[in-house]
Parts: sequence; structure tokens; C-alpha cells
Amino acid sequence: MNTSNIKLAAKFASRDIRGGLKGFRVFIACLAIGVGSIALVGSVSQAIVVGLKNDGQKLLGGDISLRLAHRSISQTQRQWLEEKGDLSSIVSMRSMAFSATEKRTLINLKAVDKAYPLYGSLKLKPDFPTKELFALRADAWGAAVNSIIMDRLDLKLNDYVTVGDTVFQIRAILEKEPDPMGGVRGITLGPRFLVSQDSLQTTGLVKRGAQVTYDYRLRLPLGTDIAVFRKNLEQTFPDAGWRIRDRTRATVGVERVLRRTTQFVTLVALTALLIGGVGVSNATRSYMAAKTNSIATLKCLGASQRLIFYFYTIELFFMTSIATILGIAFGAAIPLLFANTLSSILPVPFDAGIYPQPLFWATIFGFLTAFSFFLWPLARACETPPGALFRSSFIRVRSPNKKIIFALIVAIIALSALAIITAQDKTIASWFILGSSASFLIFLWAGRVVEWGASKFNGCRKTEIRLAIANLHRPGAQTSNVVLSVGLGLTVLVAVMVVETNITRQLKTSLPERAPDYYFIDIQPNQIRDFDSIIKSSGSVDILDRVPMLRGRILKVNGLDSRKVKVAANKRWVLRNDRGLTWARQPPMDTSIVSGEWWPSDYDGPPLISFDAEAAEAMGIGVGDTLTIDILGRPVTATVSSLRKIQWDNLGINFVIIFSPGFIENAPQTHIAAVRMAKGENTDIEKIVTSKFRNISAVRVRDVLDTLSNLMVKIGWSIRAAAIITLISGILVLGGAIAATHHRRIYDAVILKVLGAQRRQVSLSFLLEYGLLAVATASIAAFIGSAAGWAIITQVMRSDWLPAWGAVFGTVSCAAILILIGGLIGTWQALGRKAAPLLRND
Amino acid sequence: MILLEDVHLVLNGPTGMVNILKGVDLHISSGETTSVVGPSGSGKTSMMMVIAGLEKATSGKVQVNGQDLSKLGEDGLAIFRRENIGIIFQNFHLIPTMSALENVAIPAEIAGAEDAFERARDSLESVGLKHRIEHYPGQLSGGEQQRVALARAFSSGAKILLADEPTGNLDQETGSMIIDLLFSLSSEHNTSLVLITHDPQIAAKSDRQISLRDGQIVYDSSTP
Repeated sequence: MNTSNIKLAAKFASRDIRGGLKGFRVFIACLAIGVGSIALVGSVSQAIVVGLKNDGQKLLGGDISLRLAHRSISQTQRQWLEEKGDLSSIVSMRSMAFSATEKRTLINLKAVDKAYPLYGSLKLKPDFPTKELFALRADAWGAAVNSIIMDRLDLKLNDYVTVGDTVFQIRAILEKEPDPMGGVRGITLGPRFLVSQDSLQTTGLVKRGAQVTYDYRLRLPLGTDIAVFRKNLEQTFPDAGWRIRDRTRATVGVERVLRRTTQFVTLVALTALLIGGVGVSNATRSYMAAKTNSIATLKCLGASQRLIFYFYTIELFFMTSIATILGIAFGAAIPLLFANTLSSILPVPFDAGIYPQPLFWATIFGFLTAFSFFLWPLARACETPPGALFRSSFIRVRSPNKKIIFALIVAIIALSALAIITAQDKTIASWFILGSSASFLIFLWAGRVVEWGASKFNGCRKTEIRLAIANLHRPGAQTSNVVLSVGLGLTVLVAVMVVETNITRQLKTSLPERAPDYYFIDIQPNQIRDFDSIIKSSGSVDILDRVPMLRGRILKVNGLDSRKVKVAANKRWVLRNDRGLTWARQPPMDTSIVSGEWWPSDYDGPPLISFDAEAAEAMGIGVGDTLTIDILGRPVTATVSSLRKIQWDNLGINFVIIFSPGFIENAPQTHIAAVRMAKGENTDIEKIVTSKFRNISAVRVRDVLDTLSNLMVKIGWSIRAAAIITLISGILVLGGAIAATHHRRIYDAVILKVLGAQRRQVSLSFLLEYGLLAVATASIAAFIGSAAGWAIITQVMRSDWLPAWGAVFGTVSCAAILILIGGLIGTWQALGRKAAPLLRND
Repeated sequence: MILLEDVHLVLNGPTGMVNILKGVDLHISSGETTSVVGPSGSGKTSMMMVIAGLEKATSGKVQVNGQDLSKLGEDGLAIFRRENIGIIFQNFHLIPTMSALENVAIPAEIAGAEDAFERARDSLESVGLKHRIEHYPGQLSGGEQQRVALARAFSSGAKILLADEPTGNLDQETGSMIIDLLFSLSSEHNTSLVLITHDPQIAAKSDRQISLRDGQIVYDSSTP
């Protein structure tokens, strides 16, 4: 590389840039929006990650957290832990709360000890000292509850509720817990009901086999090495069966969800950047077309092609820098400016700040995208022969040489690699690369097809229509660019709308139709007969299924520590936490055994397991392999005797692990039942069952689906916002395309008027041209977007497809109107121009 | 200085192959001024482009200042032009985003001359535009723009000056002034001048006149 060439090119570029940013506005806007979106998503995500890390101790509730299902720690273990630091325990379970008026609701009961909380503090309304909050006063224990419970049971402060056998007085509303990550898991079924452990003992709920979780938090002396302590703990109690978490990895689960959401939104933002790339390419082409004479002149004056290439490359990189700076400034500033709002909206800690890493990646994305898209039109323009100054015919602009093609391929590979490297799920990112490349090619082809179709259409005598159609295919037409850029943005939006509509409809309509109406949990073995007879006597309610339930955690797979087992990402949850498990003599209804055989109903041999076929495949195990499962502190090793295909989407009672009868039959356990009301019946089965059995909790499926649906709406907003940005990028490209043809359009309008066309005729032909373009683009986007949505729903989510024509039609209609309005604004000025000045100048 | 021997030029146009030059033989000596006349489409501009190395002859020999142009690649031709050729266009072709001074300095800058701007300043002074050096092409009249182009052509010390109808876009008075300047500067710098024109009066000012028709030289005043 010749440095004097570069110096000279930089000098020429700086002279050219003095003219201002005219001609680069669309270039900068397209790039800045894409870079800004990626920087914003990254900055918000990083602020949450840092918030989670900084608050790890508080969120976990201690430096170390231990969790056990069904049982508490032993006296030896307690003694050992108390010697090491301050210990606090929490007991949690689901239950029902009853108001004095016999209203009832499912609650998430959390019973704390006197040491709680070890870190942070409760936020209560009104503020209350913990000791007085929970104390027994006039035969009622104190409680602090989530305001949802107040609403559902129609309560005021100091009102009374019954949980199990105990009456509680609501003394405060629980506004915030310091340890949301430590106490409960997964999607919370039932709002929080906070009491003391002393009061819990009086409820009679903590029965043998009840679904109770015990959490222990330890505050270690300052300076304790967490890793060393953890190792010591694991070595001292290797068979404790507890799940250990420490403050350094307190929020791994939340971070996993966050990273996945970030990745999805980032990929949509990357689509916006790629669409912006089309704008960059168009803007470069327009700009370089205006520079044809300058390039040819420089060549005539002895400038080498390389010098000219460096000259404009430097100029375009300068514009890229401006766009990138604007983008990352936006991405960095928004989280800072709206820190308070975001902190109050987000359910997780948010530590606003300027984080270099996401800004760095956004910058690299911006430069690579810009380079990938401006290189080809730039290199082509640099091929302009000097003879272009003398005549336009006989001018042969060669295709760029092999070095340019090589550089372009390297840039595209680097961009793809960057998208994959920065993604958490490399497979999804790879599919995204493939999908977006295919979409680019499809839309490029579709644009050409529209142009070709227009060129073949000659059957209309109406001048306005003929002109409109001719405008779609004549030299310099922007049809392909508009179809590509707006179409891509619109496709993303259509796909997102279709997927969201499908999921929401599944949750609101389809699933409730085939799912049970209620689950009843914690049915004690001695209550089964009465429970069944109550259900049967109601007449209108059927028990779909009732099975015993225990909890257990897979400790080893074929003797290997489960933490060391390689599992496909989508099934890691199987090994991560305690899982519900059951035992059965007969295979569950509609079970499909795909490998091995079900045991005889009178089997009484060594423990066998029927395992989920998909999980087995993800873990690389099959019939004959062994699993060691911790059940109530006892490791049980069982052999996999069959693999089952589970239908998860009917919301029935499904277990990954089903044990053979025999050994496990005698372990403490409760039952879970799924029931369904007869259509049109309105028996208050929840009231009947929970009034009779105060320890049994009723989970209303519709409430769960509503919770999921609300969650979907919240997640949907962020994805929709990113998708809308892709459409904005597309419309910016449309704006650029309109600007590029502005002079031609003015000229057309003037000549048509000179030849006797009325203003109405000219405007009608322009209106028709953009109308046709809008209809073509919207139709293609509707088709491809729906197809992408169908593929996501049926192939990725393995769900049933529900056509969402309303969402598709609404989305594409809005976009088509936008194209039409954009086109008309662009041509309005052309219509207003007087003919004489333009003709005189010519 | 300039030697063309049986030069043919065939180009691929929109309607197929077109024979532009059909066996042109020409020798122009150092310091000689030559006018080229002929009807539109006769091959005048093409011949000039072949001499400047902007178009490669399909066959025949093209030797300029001792260099065989057929043996030079794209960058070699650029260096050749930088060192030997100055071109003046009918449409001036100044870079609109550069000032008059910067426009004139470009060839010397490209050649790596450290005194590019001093030379450009002198060159602009020689065409009477000392007071306009910071002006951009858009701020100059047609005559002034052509004078800047003249200054640019001479600033790099070109040995051959090619002018393609340099007065075509100027009024008669300004055109006449530009022609006088062109001839006086050529004489002053002992530059060979090849001037394409439709004006017989301008052509008559040259040492030699040649006429092209249908891609062939049909008249050469130096041939007895």
C-alpha cells in the first residue's frame, strides 16, 4: 500500500468533504439507525447484567444459597453452616388464602426466620419493623402481601385472611423483596404472601410429601473466598442433594433469559442495519454517479485508479464514522437519560452507565455493514474510463476486479462471523445469516420480476396507466431498491405480528379449549378418596388425570456428575433444577413408547425409569443407561427401560421421569390432579375442594395462561419496536430512492406538461406508479412474512398454525399507505415546478 | 513527438461494432501546433483519445514522446499522462468541490511535487486569475473556468497539449481570448499543441492543419 497515495487521497477527500454532508443524509441516517438500535439493545442489556452482578448478594439473599425440596437440612449440616457464618432459612410453598367472605386465591407462601433478610431490606407500605410485622397479636399472625392478593380478596390493611388452619392479619403491602432470585423459581404462580416461620408451623400445611421448598442463605465473613468455601462445602457434604448457588453466579438463570432476549432483539436490529445497508448502497451509487466527471477528469490528469479508489473510500469511511458516532451516541445516551424510567419498568436491577463493549460491537457492525454495501458501487464508479468526458456512447464500465470481489466476500464473511460470534446461540445466529441472505436474494429477484413484468405489460391504452407502468421498469427506476428495502423491513414486521398473534391466540383460545381447567396440588394420600368422590359427585367435572408427585434432581448420568454432562441447549433445564417426578403401573394415556418397553403392572424389581425421548436424545442416553436421582436426600440409581414421546402442548400432567412401582411407592408424596369442567357448566369446584381441604391448592389454568399472555405482550413490545425500526430503515431507503429520481421526475413532469398533459394526469400517473409499487411490495412481504411466521410456529415452536390474516392485512396496508404517501410527497414538488426556467437552463 | 502508424480503432457501440479510425498515419514534431478539423463523427476526438492513451488503438502503432502506448497498462498510462499530456475540454471539467488553486495543483500533487501550490499559483497568474485562486468553479464564469483549465494543463509542465474544442462553450470574444492565450502559452512552453476545432479561423492560426473524414486523414497541410 502506497502511503503517499493514501496521504494524497486523504487530502482530496478532505477537500471534497468541505462541501458538507449533502448527498450523504440518507447514507448517514440509514447507518445511524441500525448502529443506534444495536448499541441501544447492547447498552440496556449490559446495564441489566451489571445491575444483576452488583446486586448478586442481595438478589440471592446471601453469599451462598442452598435449596432442598421436601426436606430441611440436617442438624449436623446446620451446625456446620452456623459455624461458618450467619444462617437464614426460608420455607416456601403454594397454598390458598381465604378472606372472611370466603373469597379465595392461590398464593406463593414464603415463611422467613428472624435473621431474614441477610442483605438488603423489605420495602413495605406502610413501613414496619420486621419483628412487629409478623408477630402474633390477638390470635392473628402478621403478614405482608402483594397488592394483587388485596385486590383479588377485596382486602384492606389490617383485614384477616386464613391460610391453612391459621388466621393472618394483613399488616403491610409488600412492595419489593430484596431477594427475588433466591426464594422462588420459574414463573411465579400466585402472588407473594410473606409470613414468619413460627406462624407457618401453625398452618398445618407442611405435611409429609407436601411440595415445600427449603432455602438456606449464608452470610460469610468479609474476605471469604467464595470458590474455596463452595469447594469445601461440596467436599464436606458430597451427598447432601442440595442445589448450591453463590453470589458470583446468583443470577445465571436471569442472565440466560436476558441474553436470549438480547440476542433476538439484536438480530432484528441487525436486520434494520442490513436494510440500512441497501440505503448506503443506493446513496453511494447516486453520489458516485454525480462524481463520474470528476473521476474521469482525475484520470485524465494522471490519477491512478487506486488513488481515486482511496480518495472516495476515505470519504465514505468518514461518512460512516459520522453515522456510527451518531448511532452509538444515541445507544449510549438513551439508557442514561431514561435510567429512572427503565429502573421502574424493568423487573430486574438496572445500572445505567456507558458500557464500551456493546458500543464497540455496534461500531464494528456499522463499519462492516457500510463497507460491505458501499464497496461495489464505489468500485464500479472508480472503473469509469477517462473517455467518459468526451462521449457517453461506447463507454464500457468494467466490472470491479478480483481484488474487490475478494474484499467484498471477506467483508460479508466478517459481518456474518461477527453476528455469530456475538450471539449467545450460534445456531440461531447462523440460521439468521442464512435466512437474511436468502431473503435478500428473494427480494432482489422479486424486484427484478416486478420490473420485468412491468416491461412486458403493454396492453393498456390509458396514458396515465401506461406511464405509471413504464416508470416501474425504465432505466434508473428504483423499483428493485424499494421492493428490496421496504419489503425486507415489512417482512420482518409481518413475521413478528404473525408469530405474536399465533402465540396470543394459542394462549387465549386454543390452549384453554384442550387444557384442563384446574390443577389441584398437594393432595395428601389420605385425602384421595374424598377428593375423588367430591369431584365425581359434582357431576359436571371430570378428573383427567391424578398422579402421585415427588420432586427429585438428577445427580448423575451413567455415573457421571450431571454438571459435566453435555446436553443440547434446549433441554439443559432437565438437569438444572429439581424436577417433578412420578411413578406408575400403567403407561399414561396417549403415551407413545418410542424405545424399550413399559414394565409389567405388578413389577417389583430394581428401580426402572421411563424417560422423555427428546431429553434422552439431547443428553445422548438411551434404554439401558442409568440415572442417579436425589429423592428426599437419598440418591436412587435407576435404569432407563423405555423412552416416551411427550405431548407438552396439551398442558396435561407430564413428567420427564416416571419411576416403576415398588421402591418409590413408599416415599412421602402428594398427588396432583388435572380436572376439566363440562362445557357450559359453572360448578365452583375450586371453592368446593379448597373449602373441604385447606391444604390443597387450586391452580386455575386460565390464570396461568393469562400470566403468560401478559408476559408475551411485554416481550412482544420490545420485539415489535425493533421490527418497526427495520421498517423505518426501509422507508428511509425509499426516501433515498425518491430523492435519487427527484430531478428525473421534475424533468418528466415538465416535459409532460409542455406536451399538453394536465396536472391531474401527471399526478395520477405518479400516484398509480407508487400505488403499483406499494401493492407489489406489500403483497410480496405479506407472502414471505407469513411463510416465515408459519415456519417459526410450526417448525421451530412445533405449534399449530392459526392464519393471522387480520394482522397481515393491517400491517401491509399501513406500510403500503406509507409508501404511497412517501412517493407523493416526493413528487409533489415536481408537479409544482414551472416549465420555462428548467427548459431555459437546458 | 507524436507518431501514429496505420492506427485503427474499432469500438463496440449500442448497435454493434463501429470502425472509428481506419488507418490513420500522423507525425507531429515537438513544439508544432496542429489543428484537426472535420465533421462530427469523423474521428477527431477518438484520435485525440488514442494520443492521450485514453483509448487503446485496436491495431497500429501509437508512440508519444518515445513511448509505445500499447505496452502500457492502466496505471502506466496514468503516469504517462501525468508526465507528458495536458488536456483541455470543451466543458472545462474542473472538480466542483475544489478551489481554482486546488484544481490547478492536482496534476503536480498527483506527481508528488512539493511545490504544487506555488506552481499552481504561478500558472493561475499567467492566465490572469491571480485574484480568483480561492474561488470554486461554480463561482467563475465560463471563460474563467477555461482559463483555470488552461492553467491546470500547463502547470504540470506537459510536453503535449490536447485541446478538444476549447471554445465550444464560450462566446466569440471570450473564445478568441482563450485561443490567443492557448497559443501564446504553447509557444512560451514550447509545447506541441493538438487542437480540435470547427472554426477555420482558429485552425488557420496553427502551424499545420489536418482534416479527418470517416476515420481517415483526407487533408494534411504539411503534405505537399
